[in-house]
Amino acid sequence: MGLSLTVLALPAIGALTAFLAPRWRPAIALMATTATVVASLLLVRDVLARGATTVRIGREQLAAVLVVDGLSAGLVLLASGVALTAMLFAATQRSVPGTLPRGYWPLAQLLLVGLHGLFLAGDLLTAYLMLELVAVTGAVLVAAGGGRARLVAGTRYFYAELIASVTFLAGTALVWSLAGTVVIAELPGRLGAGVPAMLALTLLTIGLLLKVPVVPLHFWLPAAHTLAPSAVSPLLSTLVVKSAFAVLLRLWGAGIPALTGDAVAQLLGALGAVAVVWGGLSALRATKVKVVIAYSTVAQLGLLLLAVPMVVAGSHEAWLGAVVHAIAHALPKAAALLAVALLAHHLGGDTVDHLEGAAVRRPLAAFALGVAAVSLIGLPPTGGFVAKWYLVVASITTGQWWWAATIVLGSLLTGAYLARLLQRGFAAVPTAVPQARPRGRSGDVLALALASSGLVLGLYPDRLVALLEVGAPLALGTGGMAHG
Amino acid sequence: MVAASAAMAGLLLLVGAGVVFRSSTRRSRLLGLAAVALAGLLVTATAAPDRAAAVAVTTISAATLTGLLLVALHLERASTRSDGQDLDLQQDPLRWG
Repeated sequence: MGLSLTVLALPAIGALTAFLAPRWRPAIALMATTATVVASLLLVRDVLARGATTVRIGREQLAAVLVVDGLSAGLVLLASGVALTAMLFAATQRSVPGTLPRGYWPLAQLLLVGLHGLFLAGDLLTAYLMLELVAVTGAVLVAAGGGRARLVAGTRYFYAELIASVTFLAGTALVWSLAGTVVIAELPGRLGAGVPAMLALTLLTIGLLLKVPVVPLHFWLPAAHTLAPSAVSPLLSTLVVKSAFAVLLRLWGAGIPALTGDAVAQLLGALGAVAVVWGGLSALRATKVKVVIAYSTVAQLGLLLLAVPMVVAGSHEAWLGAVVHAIAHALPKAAALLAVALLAHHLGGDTVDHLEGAAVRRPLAAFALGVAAVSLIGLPPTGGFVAKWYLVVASITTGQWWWAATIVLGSLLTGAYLARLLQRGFAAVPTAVPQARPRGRSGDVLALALASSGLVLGLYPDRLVALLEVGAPLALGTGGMAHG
Repeated sequence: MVAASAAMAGLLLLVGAGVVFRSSTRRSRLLGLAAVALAGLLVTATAAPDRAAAVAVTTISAATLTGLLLVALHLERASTRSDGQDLDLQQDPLRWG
């Protein structure tokens, strides 16, 4: 019980302290987040040693339920690790324009509280409250970056999140009315498969799909993610988008009778496939590097959704593939965003053409971008490859081969749009351009460290898989899943 | 009762969301958001299993939704403060950069 609350309390205390002591904000935030990383590591160790546990806080009917298992511990460690790296980047690059929004230090830590809460949430009401916290802090971090474009992007993002939250809340209320509980693990035995249950779960799913977001509900993402300050982008593109998916996966993996229908699951998979293709094609057409990466996020989120029909069909590999992908995508994506921020500042522009000669002009950042690209494409020996391998195996074993074809097509598209960036980056340096030396390499090292961790995941996937197996759903044949 | 309030809430949610993203003035967007928040409250007030739970969950929902509406108001006012104009949410901000 202690550690699951600690990973929530530490960033909350850090946020409050940073808010009250403006002069010491970076130091307080870095200390609190470092302590959160240590607590997350201990939580992982605890889960590996003792197995999955459930923590109830509060009165019987309104008790908050936290699920401490491999999924939540892995995602909590990922979130605190990426947040610490983003904050170190912010601390070392804060003199660079466009890096930090106003109120970054307390807001980033509040965002971390919301993310940890969502990853641990075992009931719908806790999930709703944490979704609100993530929505507010995420949108304000974009809008507070300065300038009218960011204000519009942040406001659109916030309104989409607010509508999604209320949709989710309506679904939660209906579930409560029908089942007498909002604890996800208790729903299979108490929520029937009738029309009211279907309506409630549809509302929950639509709310989460708008938050993930999946095509065609992604209208707010490209602008918000592209215009986000560079110390905020890794938090949004790698963590916030995964938080709603974690709730979706818990809900659809719980074995609720109304969610075991193959047709609806196939529809979700189809939405994922559209996202993979649409996101990939949009990234190919984009001229700004951060827009390429934003559409890449849309495509990669589609891959996560592809797993749902295979999870519902009882594939343990699909569940593992989705979670490994959520983690394996986050590390190189964060690395790419940090590297692109450094390159854009150093090379004087943020278009694909500005990357020309980046490998010579800022070699470490360009190398980090290259390593991250290998992971994002899913080439061996990276974590991205491990995730896609699981998903392809799942599609074959469940007889849903069409998802394997989509995964391969998605990888080809990812290779094509990232090759555009790398081709420019490794092209000859234009002779007319003065060769300025980069001042300080700490940002480059952080980007490379994140990119390399994606490689390490691929080289040693056993430990990650062993962690994710703790409390993972067990296949029950064709009818869905139950927690073991 | 729950089905009727759910239907009403669904309608409010759709209308509110439509107004939020199609309207060009701050006032009508905030009204749309208020309709969306009201939809959430309507369902939570009627769906709880007993009276005590209904009061508790409606209080929690009302507090969070009020907080969200205040954030929305702050964002809208930030635009007016900067150049005196309401935000145009139908324009893609990526085109400005």
